[in-house]
This record gives sequence, structure tokens and C-alpha cells, in this order.
Amino acid sequence: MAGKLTQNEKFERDLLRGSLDLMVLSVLADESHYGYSIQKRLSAASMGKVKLPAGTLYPLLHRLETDKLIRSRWEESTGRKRKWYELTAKGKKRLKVQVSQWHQYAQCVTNLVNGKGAQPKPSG
Amino acid sequence: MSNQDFENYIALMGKLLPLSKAQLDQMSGELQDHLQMRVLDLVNDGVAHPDAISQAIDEFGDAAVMAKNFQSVLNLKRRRWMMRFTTFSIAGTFLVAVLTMALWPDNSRFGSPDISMAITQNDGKVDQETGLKLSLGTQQTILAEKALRQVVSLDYDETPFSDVETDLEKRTGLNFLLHSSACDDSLTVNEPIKFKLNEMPLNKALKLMLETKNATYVIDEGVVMIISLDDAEDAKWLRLKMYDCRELVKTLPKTGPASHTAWRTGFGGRQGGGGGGGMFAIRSAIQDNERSREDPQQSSPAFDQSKLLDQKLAKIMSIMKAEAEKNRPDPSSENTLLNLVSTMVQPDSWTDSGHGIGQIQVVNGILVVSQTEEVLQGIEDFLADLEGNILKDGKRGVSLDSVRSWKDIASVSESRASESTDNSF
Repeated sequence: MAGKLTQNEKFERDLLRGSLDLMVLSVLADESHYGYSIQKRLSAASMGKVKLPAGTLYPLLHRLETDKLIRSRWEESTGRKRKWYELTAKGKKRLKVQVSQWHQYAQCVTNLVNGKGAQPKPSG
Repeated sequence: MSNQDFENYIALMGKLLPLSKAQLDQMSGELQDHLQMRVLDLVNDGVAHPDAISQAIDEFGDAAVMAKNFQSVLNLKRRRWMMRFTTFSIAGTFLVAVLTMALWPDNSRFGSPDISMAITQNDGKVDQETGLKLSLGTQQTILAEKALRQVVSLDYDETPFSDVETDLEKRTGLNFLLHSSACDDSLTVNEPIKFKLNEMPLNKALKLMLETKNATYVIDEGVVMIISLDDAEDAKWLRLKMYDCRELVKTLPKTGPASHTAWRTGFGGRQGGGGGGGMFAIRSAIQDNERSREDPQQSSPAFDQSKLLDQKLAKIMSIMKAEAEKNRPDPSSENTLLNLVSTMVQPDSWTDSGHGIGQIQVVNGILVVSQTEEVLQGIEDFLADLEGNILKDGKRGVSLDSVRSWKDIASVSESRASESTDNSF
């Protein structure tokens, strides 16, 4: 497990709020996951910068399921009942759209930030 | 913290969330799985088991916060359901309102669907069913006929006739007019009507009701005119109507002309008084002619004169019969139709009967009739029965049994016609 990150090293909550759906849908794009594995995958992908608490993750999964973007099924493996989530066709379409929008958005922000020189360029 | 703490955590969420026991069990199972996996990872990382449990539960966050997040999802579900319900309710209400307005009999703007459809269909003055071009007056009459075909229940208990008219106008959307000829007799606007009938076509019910007051009705360019029964026989109230019998004619057997044709060619006796009257009239005419020519001084005995007269008469008859045969049209299906209608529907109402004033012709499969409203209704019913029995699906043609039976009818009709012709000599 990575060491503890300082507050400055974590993403701000407001920054995360608009992209949580996209992150979770992206995790589920390739294969099915259960709640804890989604949480671990997000943490690993962000090198510990995205720590999605269970109190936020599970309501989010339920909302995506309500929107029919993901579906769930219960499976019993290794003697333990577990709830698995996977993308629906609608979820795949939404992911495609959101990924496209995200790239444009990120490009837009990058251009603005670089142009103004408000932030130091990432060291290469 | 311990497993007991986690159970308390779930129990608290259960109290905060409006979930069924099954839903709560599922949520508990999912969170329990998460907790166990997290504890296992922490233990693997070297954290002591009790501490691992405590840390895992801490990472879940406050139960109230998680319950609040779940609650917002449930609220979203409820809000969407209500939006859908509201949308469907509004759409349903709008649909019901439109249908009610369209079907409401008082609403003359929309009219009944039947009439509306008929108006649309006849917009181009071409009847969609028959492909016939129709005049505006005929279109209006067709609409009126359709409106009068609706099945109704009438219940008038000493109701003034003016109120009856108003009621019928509301039901049909048509104009009813009490003609002066009816007023002269027993029917006036204040005449109390006592009449009750259930579930009957309005045209028939109206006819029965009016007959009790010595009246009837005719349709004049869409207006229902109430006239006296006596006036109905008047030529000015006859209505011209065309029936599309093109399909029907194709299925009928061919027969020769009947009595009406004989009458038209001038050899029938009905116009001259019927039956043997024609022969008697010819004989008298010849006698008169002979008397005027003969000199009274050279007159022969009466017996010889009568013999000579009979010989001349026989010669004239043979010439006339030969002429009649020569002019007799070829057998045709149109003749069969003509014979059937004129012999089966109120035979006395046709001009060839010597009593009636109705006229009938068939032109290219279109039956053209000038008759009273009552006879027109009878023809319509008769043709409907014919089509129903012969045409079947309109294309299959006639079964062998049907042909035989209709040939029988046609031959009866033809024999009646020839009887009529023979009697005239």
C-alpha cells in the first residue's frame, strides 16, 4: 500500500465530483467488478490520489444502476456471495460520449492553463 | 469496534432508509463483503485483526452520511417515477379529452367519427368505396343516411314533436324539418309523441314513429324532411339514388328482360289497364275501324264479320309478337338484377305495375333508382342481403348452389314477365 498522501497531493473533492461517473464506468469498461475491487482499481490507477470512500461509492453504484448504465448480479464464489457490476449497452454508449467530452475538456483546460502560464509546467 | 459494531452500523442505516427487509439484507451483504475484503487486506499489510476491523469500519464513513447518499438515490428514483406518472397522466387526460370531444354527439364542430370520415373521404367528391364521382347534394345525403343508420333507443312520453326533433338533431347532427304537408294532417310541432323502442337503427325507428302520426320522412340534400304519408307518393318527394352493383352484376346469371322492359317497348298491358285489357282494347279498336269503313248497305251477317275480324286480329297479333321478339334485348346479368329488384322490393311501387311511380335502370352495373324513401331503404336492405349471400368475400364469386337458387329466382321472375306479356294479348 502506498504511503499516506498529504491533502495537497489528493484531488480536491469538487474536481472529483464531476468525473466520478466517468471513472467508475471506465473501470467497468473491460470487465465486471464488485464494489471493493472498483475502489481498489481507482486507487491503484490514481496512485492513491483517488480514495473513494464506501459511503460514496455504493450510493454512486446504485444511482448508475437506477440510470440503467450498469447492471448487477449476485454470484457465489469461494463460498461467499458477492455482487458484481457490469456495463449495460446504454452505459457503454454513455462512456463513449463522456470519454470524448473529457478529452475535449481536458484539452481545453490544458490549453488555457499553459497559455496563461498560471501553473508551472510539469517537469519532464 | 467489532463485528457487533458493524451490525449496529447496518441496523442504523436500515432505520434511516425506507428499505424493505430484502433490500436491507442485500445492502448488508454487499457492505459486509466489502468490509471483510478490506480487513483481509489490512491484516495482510500487518495490521492487527481488531484494529483492521476498526479501521475498515472507519473508512466506511458516518452511517448517517451514507444513508443520506442512499436516500438521494432513492429520491431520484421516486422523482423519476412521479415525472413519468405525471407525463402519462397528462397525456392520458389529453387523449381522453380529445376523444370525448370528437365523440360527443352535441359537438357539431367535430361531428361523429363516422361523419368526419365520410366528409374527409368525400372531400374530393369521389366516393372511396365505389370510386364514383358524387355531387355535393348526394354527398350530403350519404352523410345523412349514415347518421340515420346509427342504432338508438328512443323513449318519448307525451313529448312535443319539436322536442323530439331537437333530440334527434342532437343525436345525429342533422337538420330535421317538419314540412307543411305534414302540418296539414295530424302532425304539428306541439303534437305529443308517445313512442318507445330499444336498440334499433334510427331510420327504421323514425319511420315507425312517424307512421303513428300518418307521416314519414325523406332526405332532401342532407335535410330530413318530415312529410305526410300521402305526400310521400308524390313525384316531387321521390329521391334519385344510385347503387354500385358492378361486383354483384358480375356474379348474377344472365336472363332476358322482364315486365318493365315489355312495358317500355309498349307491348305490355299494364299501362293500358293490365292483363287482358290490352287485347280487348285492340279488338275494340279494330271493330270500330271496320265498322267505320263498311257500308251499312252491304253489311254481311254478324257471324262472318266476327270470323273476319278474328283472322285479322290473329294476323296483327302474330306481327306484334314477332316484332316483340325481334326487339327483345339479349339476356344479361343487368336484366337479372333489374328483374330481382323490381319484383322483390314492393312490386306495386314501380311504374310498370301501373300503380307506382318508381323508375329503375341499370347502367354499367350502377343501379339508378327514383323511388320513395321507404322503397329505397328496402332496396338497400335487399342488395345488402344479396351481396352478403352471393358475393361472400366480394371476390370469390358464386357457389354452385347459389347459382342454382338465383337462376331459379331469375327464371320465376322471367316467367312472371312472360305471363304478363302473354296476358296482354
